[in-house]
Amino acid sequence: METSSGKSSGMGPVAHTAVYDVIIIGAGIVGAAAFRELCKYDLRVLLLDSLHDVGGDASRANSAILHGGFDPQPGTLMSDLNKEGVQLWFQWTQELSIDVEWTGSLVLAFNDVDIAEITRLYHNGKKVRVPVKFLGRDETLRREPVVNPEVRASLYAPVSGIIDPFQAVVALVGSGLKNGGKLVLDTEVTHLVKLPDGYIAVQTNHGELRAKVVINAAGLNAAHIMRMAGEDWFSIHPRRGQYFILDRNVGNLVRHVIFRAPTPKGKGVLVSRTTHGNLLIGPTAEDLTEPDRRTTAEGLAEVLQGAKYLVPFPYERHAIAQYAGLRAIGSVDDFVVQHSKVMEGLINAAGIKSPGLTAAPGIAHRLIELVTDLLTLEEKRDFDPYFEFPPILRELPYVDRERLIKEDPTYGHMVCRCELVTEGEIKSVLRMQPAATDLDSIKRRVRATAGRCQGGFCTPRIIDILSRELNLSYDQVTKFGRNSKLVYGDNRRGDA
Amino acid sequence: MFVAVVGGGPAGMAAAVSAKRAGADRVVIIERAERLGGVLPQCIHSGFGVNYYGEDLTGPEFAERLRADVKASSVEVWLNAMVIEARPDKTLIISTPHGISFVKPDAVIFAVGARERPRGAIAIPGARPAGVYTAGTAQYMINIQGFEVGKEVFVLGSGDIGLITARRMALEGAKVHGVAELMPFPGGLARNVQQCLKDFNIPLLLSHTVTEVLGSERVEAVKVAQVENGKTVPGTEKVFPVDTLVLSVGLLPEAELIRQMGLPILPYTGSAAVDQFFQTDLPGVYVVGNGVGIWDLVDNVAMSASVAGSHAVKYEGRSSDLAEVLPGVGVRVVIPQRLSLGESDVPRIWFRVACPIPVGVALLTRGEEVIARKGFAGLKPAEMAEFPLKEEQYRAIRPGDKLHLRVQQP
Repeated sequence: METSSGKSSGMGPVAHTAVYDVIIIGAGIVGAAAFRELCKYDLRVLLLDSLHDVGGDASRANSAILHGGFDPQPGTLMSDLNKEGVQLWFQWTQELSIDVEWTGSLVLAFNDVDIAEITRLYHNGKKVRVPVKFLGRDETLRREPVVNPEVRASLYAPVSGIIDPFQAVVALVGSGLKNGGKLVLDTEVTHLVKLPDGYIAVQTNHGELRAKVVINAAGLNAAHIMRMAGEDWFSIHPRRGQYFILDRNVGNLVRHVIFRAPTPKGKGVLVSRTTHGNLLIGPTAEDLTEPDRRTTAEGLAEVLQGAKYLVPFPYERHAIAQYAGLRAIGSVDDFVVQHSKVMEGLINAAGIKSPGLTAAPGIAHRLIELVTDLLTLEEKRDFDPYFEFPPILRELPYVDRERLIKEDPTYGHMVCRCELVTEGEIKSVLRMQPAATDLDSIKRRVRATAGRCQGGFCTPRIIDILSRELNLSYDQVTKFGRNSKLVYGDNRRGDA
Repeated sequence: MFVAVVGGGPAGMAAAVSAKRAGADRVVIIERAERLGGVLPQCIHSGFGVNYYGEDLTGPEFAERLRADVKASSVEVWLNAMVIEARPDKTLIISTPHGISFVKPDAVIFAVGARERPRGAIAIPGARPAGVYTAGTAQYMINIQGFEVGKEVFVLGSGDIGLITARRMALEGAKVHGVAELMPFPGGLARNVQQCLKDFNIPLLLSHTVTEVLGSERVEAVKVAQVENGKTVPGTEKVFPVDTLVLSVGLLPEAELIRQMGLPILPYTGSAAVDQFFQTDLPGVYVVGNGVGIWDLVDNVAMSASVAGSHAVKYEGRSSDLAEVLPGVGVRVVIPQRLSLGESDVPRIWFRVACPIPVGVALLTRGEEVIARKGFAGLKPAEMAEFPLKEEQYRAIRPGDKLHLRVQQP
C-alpha cells in the first residue's frame, strides 16, 4: 500500500491502514457532512479528495445561501432534503460554530409571469410546510426599500439565510477528524473494483485503498466515478455561475437575500450579503460541456445587469473580486442519493446541484440510512459533537484579545490589514485540523487576502509565514497546491 | 498638546516632526509595519526629494532623512502597532504585540496612505491562477524580500509604479513583454516612460487592456486587446505567453478609519474633505498624504503633512467661515475641498486634470462669476498642478461659497 504522496491530515503519515469500513470520495459539502455523521459511529472512515484542501469545487464557489425550501418540486428528494437540511443546519451551525445568519429571503415579482411563479412557490411552500408569506408591493418596499420600485409583489421566506460555506466544510471535516476519521488529500481515484471478499478496491494515483462501503460524493465527477463502477445511466454536465464580491462598505445594501422569480434556467441572479459582511451578486447559469471555471466579460456583464434590475446600485464601483463556480447538473432532475445499481457497497450522491449546500445535512442523513443497509452501525460513546475554530480576534471583546496577545504576542501582529487577521491566527490555522497549507486555504479559514486589497499587502508576509512555519523554500509556497507557486524563489540565495 | 499620527510613511513622519517642532508636548507615530518609511523602502529608484530636500534621492534615502528628523525631534514611535478602531471622539484602539492600547489624543493626523486597486476592482475576466500581482506588491517582494516574482511578465497600467516595476523586473532578469494602458496617453510621468520603457525596449501599448487571464495553476498567458470608446476592438486580441501579470491600475486612499470617524467619503478623492490645513470637518482630525487623495510626488505628500502637523498644534478647532471647492469640467481632483477663510496665509490649491491639456485655462468660479483664472501649458493627469490663488482673490471668497475649479481648452 503506497499512499504516502497523498497528503493526510488527522493522523501522522497517510493511512497506516489501507482498509476502511467507509471511504468517502469527495471532500465537498456533501462528503464533509457524511464524514462528520459517519464518525459518530464505530467505523473506520476515510475522506478522500483530489484537491489540495477540503472544500471541493462547487462547495467553495456558490451563492452561500441556505434556501427556504419552497423552490424544489414537492415530493422530490430535493424538496425533502432541502427542508431537512435547513432544520439540521440550525443545530449544526451551533454545534460546529459555523457562521450563519437567518436573514430571510425575498423573491421579487415584476410582472404577471413572475406573480404566477411566486404564487406557485407560495403553494409549494405551504405544501411542504415551510414558512412563506406573500407580500404586496408596499410591504416588500417596507422590508427592503432599495429594491427596484417597479416591484409588484414578493414571496418572503423567513427561515432562510446565509452561511459561510468554507467554514462549514472545514468544521464538518474537523469534527470528523476529531472523532477518529481520516483525511487524505491530493489523491485522485482512478478505478473501482469489486473484490471477491466483498470489499471495494479504490485505486488511486497514490496506491490502492479498500473499503466495505464507498460513498461517491464526487460532485462534478460523480458520474465519472459511477462509470468506474460500470454504471452509465447517469451523466453530469457543468453549469457555470459567475459572481461578483463587493466591498464590505456596501454589504448592508440589502437585509434579505434578494431573488428574482425563477425561470426554467434556475433561480437567476441574486443580491445578498455574506456572513463576512461583503455583498455578493450572481450567478449566471451557463450550461457547459467541459468544466471551465473562467469568468467572462459577457457573464460578468450579465451578473451586473441582473443585479441592477433587482436592486439598482453602482456595483462595479465597489467590486473587489469575481469568481466562477460549477454546479453539477445531472441527467435526472433530482438529487440521486441511492445504492449503486451495479456495484454492491457503492452509494452514490450525485447530481447535487442547488440547493445542495442547504440540503447537505439531509443528504448526509440519507447516506447514513443507506450505509445501515450494508453495515451495522454502533454509536461511539465518546463522540464529541462540538467543534471550535481557533480564535478569530476581530470577533472577540478587547479584553479577550489582550489576554491572547499576552499569551502569544503574534496575536498582536496584524498581517491582513483589510480583514484584520493577525500572524497568530494564521499560525493557528496551519496547526488546526484540517490544516491550511497554502495561501487560499488560509483565506478560507481566517479571511486573510479576502478583503478589499485582495492580498496586495499580506501575500508577501504570508509567503514568509508559510515558508517559516511549514519549513518550505519560497518556491514551494503555493496559492492552492500543485504548481500554483507564488514566486520562483529567492534571488538573494546565492549571496547568502 | 498630544498629537497622534496614524501611519509612519513619509506623510506620517513629516507630520509628526512638524507637530513636534511647532511645540506639541507629545507626538506619537502609530505604524503598523515593523519599520518606518511606508512604501519608500521598496522604492529603490531615484526621483524623490527634489522639492522637499532640494536633492534627488532614492526612496530609502528619503525615508532615512525623515527618520533622522523623527529621531532628532523626540517623537515617540510605536511599530507593529495598528489602529483597529477610530472613534469620532478621537479615541484610537491599537493592536500591538504587547496588547490592546487605547489612546485619546487632542489631535489625530491620519497619514494612512493608499492601497492598490486589485484585479477584482477592474474585473479582468478569466482564470484565477497564482501570478497576478499589483505593482507595489511585486515591488515589495523584489526589493524587500529578494524574491524572483516572475520570469515572463506583462504589465497593465502605465502609472509610475507600473513603469518602475516593469523596469525593475527587466533589471532582475525577467522578460517584460509589454505594458498596456487603457487610455490613449501614458498614466505616468514622461521621464518614467523614457527611462523605464523606452530605454529598456519595453513596448507601450496605448489604448489597450488585458481582456483575459489564462492558466490553471500559475498564469500561463494574458490576452490583450485594443480599446476604443471603452470597448475592446474585435480582431485586435493578442496572446502574450507570460507567467506573471503586474497591475498598476490605480491607488485608493486607505480611508477605513476615516470612515469610522463618521466622516463622509468624497467619491472623487476616496477620502474625507479637508481644508488648506488638511483638517477635516471634525475639529482636530486631519488627513494627509495619499490618505487624502493621490499625489504625484512624495515631496507633496510630505509637504501636505507638514502643514497639518504644525496646524494641529497652533490652532484649536477651526474657523466656521468655510467655502467649498469642487472639481468642475476637465478636473478630476481638487485638494483641498474646503477653504477656511480669514487665515493669514493664502491657501494653496492643487488639482489634477482628467485628460492631457496641452494649452488651457484653469478657472475658479462661483456660479457664473470667475474669481480667478490662470493659463497653463502641458497639464497631464499624472501630475498635480497648483492653482495660484492671489491674496485679493482669497479675500473675496465668502463663507458658504461653492466654488468650482474647471479647465478650458481654447
